[in-house]
Amino acid sequence: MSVIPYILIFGLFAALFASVIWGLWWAIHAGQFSDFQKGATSIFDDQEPVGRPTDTFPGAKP
Amino acid sequence: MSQSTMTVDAENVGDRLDPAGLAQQADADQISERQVIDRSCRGPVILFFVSATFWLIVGTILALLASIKLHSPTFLAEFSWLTFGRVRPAHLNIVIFGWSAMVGLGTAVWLTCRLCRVPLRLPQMLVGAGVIWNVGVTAGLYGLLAGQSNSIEWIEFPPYATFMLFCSFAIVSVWTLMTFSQRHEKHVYVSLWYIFGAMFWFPWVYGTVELLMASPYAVQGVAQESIHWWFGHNVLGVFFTPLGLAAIYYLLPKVVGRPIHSYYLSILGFWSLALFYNWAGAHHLVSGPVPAWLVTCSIVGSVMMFIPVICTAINHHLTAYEHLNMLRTSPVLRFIVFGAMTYTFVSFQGSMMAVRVLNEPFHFTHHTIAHAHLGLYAFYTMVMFGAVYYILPRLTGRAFASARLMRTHFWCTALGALLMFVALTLGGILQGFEWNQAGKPLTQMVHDHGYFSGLAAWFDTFKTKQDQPINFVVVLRETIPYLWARSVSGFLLLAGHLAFAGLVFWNVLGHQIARLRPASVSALSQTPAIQGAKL
Repeated sequence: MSVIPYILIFGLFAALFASVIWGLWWAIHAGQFSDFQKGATSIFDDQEPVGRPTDTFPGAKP
Repeated sequence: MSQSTMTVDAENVGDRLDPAGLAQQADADQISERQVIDRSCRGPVILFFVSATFWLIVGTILALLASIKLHSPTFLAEFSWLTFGRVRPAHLNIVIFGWSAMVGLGTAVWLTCRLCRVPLRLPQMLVGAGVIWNVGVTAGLYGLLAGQSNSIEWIEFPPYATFMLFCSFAIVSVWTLMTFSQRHEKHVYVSLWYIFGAMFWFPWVYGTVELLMASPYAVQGVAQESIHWWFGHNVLGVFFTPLGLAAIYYLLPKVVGRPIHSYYLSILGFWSLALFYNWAGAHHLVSGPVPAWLVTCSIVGSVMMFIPVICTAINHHLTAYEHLNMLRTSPVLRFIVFGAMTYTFVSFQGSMMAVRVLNEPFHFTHHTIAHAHLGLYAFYTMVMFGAVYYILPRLTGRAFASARLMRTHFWCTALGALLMFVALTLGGILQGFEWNQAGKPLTQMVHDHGYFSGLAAWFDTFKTKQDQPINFVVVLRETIPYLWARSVSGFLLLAGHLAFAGLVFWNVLGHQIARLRPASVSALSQTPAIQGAKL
């Protein structure tokens, strides 16, 4: 039986595992986990600030 | 957070609608960066959403046919291409690759642009990927109905269709990486972590199973089933689940206007999911002819999934808890909260059912089908309905045409999903007990002793462990009422899906409808949600 598929699969697995470890290392060193409050509010902006709901049924008031 | 603005012609961006009716337009010549991003996503994301909606209807009709054939096997039996062996895999693959994957990818594309704060670049790339994906799904459907299935559940599509799907997905993955590398937002929000996981775990899982199950290098024997169930579980766990959670983590705080309860827990939830989820799968082979250590590892991985699920559950439910009154006014919140609650339940159920003592009586029964529908439909699909209701108006610049249809959609799908879950769970428990524990049929006990006494006596027969097993056909006949209930739930789901499809197509084709029926659209534009509002 050919070993090619196993080389492919384990090679891909090793690359994926390495990329996950690199991603975690990068996130820690880039300060992604240093200020959780800032991270939680990063999806809000001046037009859609914290405290403003953004969805209602058509024609309904929030 | 500061938000830069860009001066553009407001008319050119269809900038006339705030679906919530909230934003106050200060300057007609300025639109926000967020609106520019939404505009840039319009073509590719609408393509993915419309295609997904079309496949949802096709998949639901196929599901209904398959369900009816389970209790009425002669239904349409004269057509070879509509036999159960073809319709059932066609339903499964169409709802996975046609609906679930396409709506998930459309949502992921929009979320990636929003969270990276960059307009969508190279839209032709994504449109091409969407077209290739549609061609692949169409070819796969033809192959299955023509009898070219490879008989491996979840990957029944013929190789020519699979190849197209793989190429298309690779394009979307590369596009995601390109967009991330050009991002303006330094912080990687938790939804983006989940999207990255889905984009790069799925090709690994899909490529591995295709190579080892449906290629010239395919393995033989029991190794097939180990790989098969690893894929079957992980396509849910490392592809659809991350996409669903990514949508919840963005939409839930945006809809209620509050950050998620604990951002720390959300990050912990992602990394623990990444660590534990892909161990699962082999627990479906409890008591099977596979090494015990393999099954045990899978059970341990499944039970460890309590960690990410509890993290996610705390976040979802405590974020939504103080805003439950908004369920009356927000269609998106209804679907998202329903999906989040179901995610908690189905995940707890999944971890518990992986344990040998609970797995043995119920695997290979309707109970597993109920669990799968709870995960892929009641969690993932309901969340995606919410995502479409949030995203689509921001792309087209039009509110959905009918709040009543949206409510109809919600109640039909919610009740349909619950009915299916309850019916198949009860039917599965019946099957599991009677197959595994030789006793007396439930119908006979109820006939002899009445309903409640008969039910109690039925349980008692298992304690005595009688030697004579129950005839397989007797058990099969006892499950027929539950299969009828499943078909009834299928009609409910189809009604809900037709309402959803009508809303989507009406919203997307609004300009064309306006040309054909100016009077009705003129009346529509007078509704408060549209009149004078902005995105």
